[in-house]
Amino acid sequence: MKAYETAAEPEKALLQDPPRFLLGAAFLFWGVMLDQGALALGGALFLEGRWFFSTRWKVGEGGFVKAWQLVMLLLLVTAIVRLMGDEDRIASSIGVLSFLPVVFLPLLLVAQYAEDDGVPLTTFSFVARRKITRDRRAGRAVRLVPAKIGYPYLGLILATAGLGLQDLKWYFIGILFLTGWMLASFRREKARPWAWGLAYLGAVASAVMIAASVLGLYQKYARFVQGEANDISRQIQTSLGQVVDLKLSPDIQWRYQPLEGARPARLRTAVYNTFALDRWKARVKTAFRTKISQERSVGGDFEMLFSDGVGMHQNHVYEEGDFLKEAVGSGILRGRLGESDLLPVPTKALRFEAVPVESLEVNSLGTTQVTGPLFDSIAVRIANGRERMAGEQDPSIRDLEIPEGELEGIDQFWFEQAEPMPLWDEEEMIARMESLEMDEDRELRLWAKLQQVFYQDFRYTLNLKPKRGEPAISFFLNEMKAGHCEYFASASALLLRRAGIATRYCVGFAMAEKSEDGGEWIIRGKHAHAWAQAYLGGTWRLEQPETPSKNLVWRCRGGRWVDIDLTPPDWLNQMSQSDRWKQRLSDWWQMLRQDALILLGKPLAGKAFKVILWVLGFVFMAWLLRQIWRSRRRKTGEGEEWLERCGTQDYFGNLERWLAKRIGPRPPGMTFGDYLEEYEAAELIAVYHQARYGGQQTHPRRLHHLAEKLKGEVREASSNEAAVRRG
Amino acid sequence: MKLPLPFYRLLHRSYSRGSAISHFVNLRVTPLAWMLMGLLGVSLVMGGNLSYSVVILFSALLSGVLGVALLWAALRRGRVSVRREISRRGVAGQPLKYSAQVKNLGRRVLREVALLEVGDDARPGFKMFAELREPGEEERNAFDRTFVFYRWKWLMEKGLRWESGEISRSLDLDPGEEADVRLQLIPRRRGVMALRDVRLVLPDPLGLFRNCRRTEVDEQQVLVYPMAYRVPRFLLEGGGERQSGEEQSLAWRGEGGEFLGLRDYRPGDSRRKIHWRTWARTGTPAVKEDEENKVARYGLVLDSWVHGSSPQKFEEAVSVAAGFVQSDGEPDRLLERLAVHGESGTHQLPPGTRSSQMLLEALARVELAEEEAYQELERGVQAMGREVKAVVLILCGWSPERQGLVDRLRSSGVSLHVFAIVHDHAESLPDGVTALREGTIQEDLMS
Repeated sequence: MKAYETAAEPEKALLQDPPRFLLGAAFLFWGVMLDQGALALGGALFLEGRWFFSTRWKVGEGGFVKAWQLVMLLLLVTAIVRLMGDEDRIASSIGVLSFLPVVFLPLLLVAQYAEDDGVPLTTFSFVARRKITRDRRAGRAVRLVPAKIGYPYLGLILATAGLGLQDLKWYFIGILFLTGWMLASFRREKARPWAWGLAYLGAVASAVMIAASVLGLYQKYARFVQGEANDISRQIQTSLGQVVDLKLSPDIQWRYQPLEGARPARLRTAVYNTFALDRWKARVKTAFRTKISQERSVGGDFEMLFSDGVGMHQNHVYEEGDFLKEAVGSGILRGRLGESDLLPVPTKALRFEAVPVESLEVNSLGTTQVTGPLFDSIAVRIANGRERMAGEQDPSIRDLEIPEGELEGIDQFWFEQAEPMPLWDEEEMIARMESLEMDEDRELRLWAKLQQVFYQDFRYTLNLKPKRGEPAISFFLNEMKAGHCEYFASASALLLRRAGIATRYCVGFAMAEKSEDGGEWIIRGKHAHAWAQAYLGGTWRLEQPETPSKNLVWRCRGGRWVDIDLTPPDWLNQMSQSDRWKQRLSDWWQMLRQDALILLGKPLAGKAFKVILWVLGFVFMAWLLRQIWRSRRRKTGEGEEWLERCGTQDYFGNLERWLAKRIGPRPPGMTFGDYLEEYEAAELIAVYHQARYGGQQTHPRRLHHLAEKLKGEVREASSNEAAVRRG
Repeated sequence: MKLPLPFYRLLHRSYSRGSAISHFVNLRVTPLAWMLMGLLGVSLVMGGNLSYSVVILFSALLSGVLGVALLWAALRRGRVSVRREISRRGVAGQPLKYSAQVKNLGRRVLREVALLEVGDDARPGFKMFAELREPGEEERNAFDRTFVFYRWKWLMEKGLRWESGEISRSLDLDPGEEADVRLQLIPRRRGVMALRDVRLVLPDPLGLFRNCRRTEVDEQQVLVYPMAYRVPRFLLEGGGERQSGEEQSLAWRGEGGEFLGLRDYRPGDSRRKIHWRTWARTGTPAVKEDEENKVARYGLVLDSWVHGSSPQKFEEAVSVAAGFVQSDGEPDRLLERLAVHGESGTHQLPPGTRSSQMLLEALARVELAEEEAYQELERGVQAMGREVKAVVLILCGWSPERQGLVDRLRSSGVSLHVFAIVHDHAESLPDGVTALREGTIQEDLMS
């Protein structure tokens, strides 16, 4: 009969360990999907190493809690690094989530190499841990439920491998294979393989149907709500025509430090030429495109800028001759960039000096793009020229297009301003262009008139209440008479186009805030701005396009691009002010991070930093490995009793079998000492206890001597007993 | 904190229903299915934004796997009869293994089926839930004290008579075919255990869900012996000292080296006392009892009135008593009689036997006394005291009534060893009464 145990009995662990190679394969799959091959290979080797090394550690409740706390710390650090100051919070969150398998790896490794039978579930809850501490203090029995966490971790790997826009087909194939492996490995008895296969096939068919339905619905929803796929260089989402209360980010996006000459009023990020469905797009048909030489073509409408050398720190110019042109001013632009991102530049940018990127590109509208920055923060020295950048192409017929729905409202606006426009007919308009003499005075007069009307009769607001179904710009011009910079810029562009002036829509930043020390201009999200650029003084004519084509194309030549910003100048005063201290702290962190990354981008500092980091990392890892190595144990068979283990390999196992035949088997629960209490075997019992509990080994010869002595005694006692029985 | 009864009634009803639902669900949903459902939730959160991820495919696959498995398990049917071959006795805390013969009564082949003995319904009644207090409940926070969920859990754990073991091995049964399977259950409490429900487990092929169908099976009862604390040898003195006078012949047995009989070998018995011929004949080790020439006889008295105390203390007292009954395996002493408060008469070992089985059976069946009857107990103990060397008295707490009982017994000349189950040391006990604190009884016995 079993005696009462005051301590709680050990619980059986929930779940079980994944079979050999499953976790490693899943981790490699994650690495392939997220382009983290080296990391995944290392992780997979560590995970599978448990099957090949017998070293184990006694972790205990405290050890698991420490591992969990380390995981939480890693998660916090990863989240801070990825989320602080990043522009796209959703992408950053996805980035953090996709790294969860790496973040959780320490806990899993601890569980994999622990002697303990699973991780106690209380490890994951501070409240639960407090409760069991209180219960123990109060003398209440505590039941710890351990769980094997290999399979949940596997699920986490499979889920996170799909984060980011991965290859749908390969992701599906991967999860089908690994999930099937997981389910098959869980089966204790491999009965009915055909039924299993049929069930899994049914599950896969259901999954395909579910996924197809959801994706189909989502695509319909996306088309309805968002329109076609968004590409920032090709298209920009606006808030035109939507009822929204815009909240612009106070985070620092860029910093501009003027070095020589006057500072630019604005930095332009992108230029668009087509307006449709309340959205601006950059559309350049091949016929209107400058022919790009094969060496400089980077795909789409972009071509590489000219550069003067090799490596990451070369100069870039829009036209080959600009390397030697005299600059009238310069400044340093600092900020964060993605792998391929648009660069906000002054419209008179001449040269980009010592830029730590793979390449700089420009499209035919003048949008400048950066590819492959060395770090995600860079510093670019920009030299400004006397004239606008050479990248901008002269206007085409596309720069005169007006959406049909807006035409009536625009005509009404001009009519009310006593500037009636001739009837709009595209064919007639084109025919008229041939004889059209562009009158720059008229253009300037119309510009001035618009400025006067917008400044006097319109007001700037971020709280938009447009009418659904109404053309956004017409409603803005004739009814709402209030809006933000997108309305003013779009309205300016369309009104000027209606007047026959080729106009484009620009987005970028206004430079409106100086840093406290006065050395830099701080450019925040809330300084994002939109304006129009018009081509004044040009002449339209039909000409042969640069690319081979049968048709002649209309181009406007001989004029100049001029920025037309008709947003009331008080727009910056209406930006909301965030909490001062919070903002200062956030600014400090963002600038510190940017400066640090920029410094690391410099050759010497970067190398020095790497060396220091490696040394510190090496010292820490050496210390950690030493600690881990010193606390190691040999692996014991899972669920295997000590005696069963030694029975085949240990001297005592053989001795006990010998004794069992002569004096009867040792009853369960009886100590070795009690078993041999009738014999003179105190020394042997002590040696046994040392080997059993103290882990000390005895010389085989001595052990043999003690065992033989005992055997002699047993033989003698047996023969005496036999003699007594006979007598 | 005393809360209004309607509130307790509401809590009791909701906990009771919650436990029933939880039992129903846990019987049918495997840990793997729970894990996959958790993963489905995680994947839905991660892959909610389809513009940024393709995790929706994983969610769809998990939904497909769970859906197909659930449907498959729900559609499985089977009809079987089961006949258990189980021992009539068990020990609390020790797995009870037995075999069962299962027969397919249906007309279809049953593939990959198993059996499971469904465990006891441990839900406490409303009265017990409203009146009993979990030890240390007053130290819990206000939320726990108000909603007393921990009390519910404690009562569920304490009230559980037995729990199911693992599901049996899988079987394939043709129509009319019979097969033997091994089953297991774990008795948790002493007493009579009624086994009523064996379920036919029909899992889906992926091993996520199970359909549990009732089987045709007879009810069977098993007597569960109590768990026992280890009692150190010194608590009952052996034959080293003798009483003189008339009582000597009554208090001692085995005088003059008479042969008392044979009994089963117990751990700790000397090898020299093994009766080899019996062992050779029966295959079971046996020892002789005739080599000792003096055996001290003891009586055991168990208090079963828990007014002002708790049933838990009574169960602890039973386990302590079982410890004394078991410890009589020493050759120089014999615990021979057992008296229980509230029961008329005493349980006494038949002459010539040292097997404690009869007393253990009595302890397995002992119930709480409905009313106080210390005077009757006192008379019984005094009569017992004349026939034994000493009496071990185990009390379910300490109170003026119990104090009076002990004082009167001592003044009447009965040699007493008194043990009282108490909540903690704060309860002041007179000299000569050993306090056994709940939660540390084993340590208190050994110290």
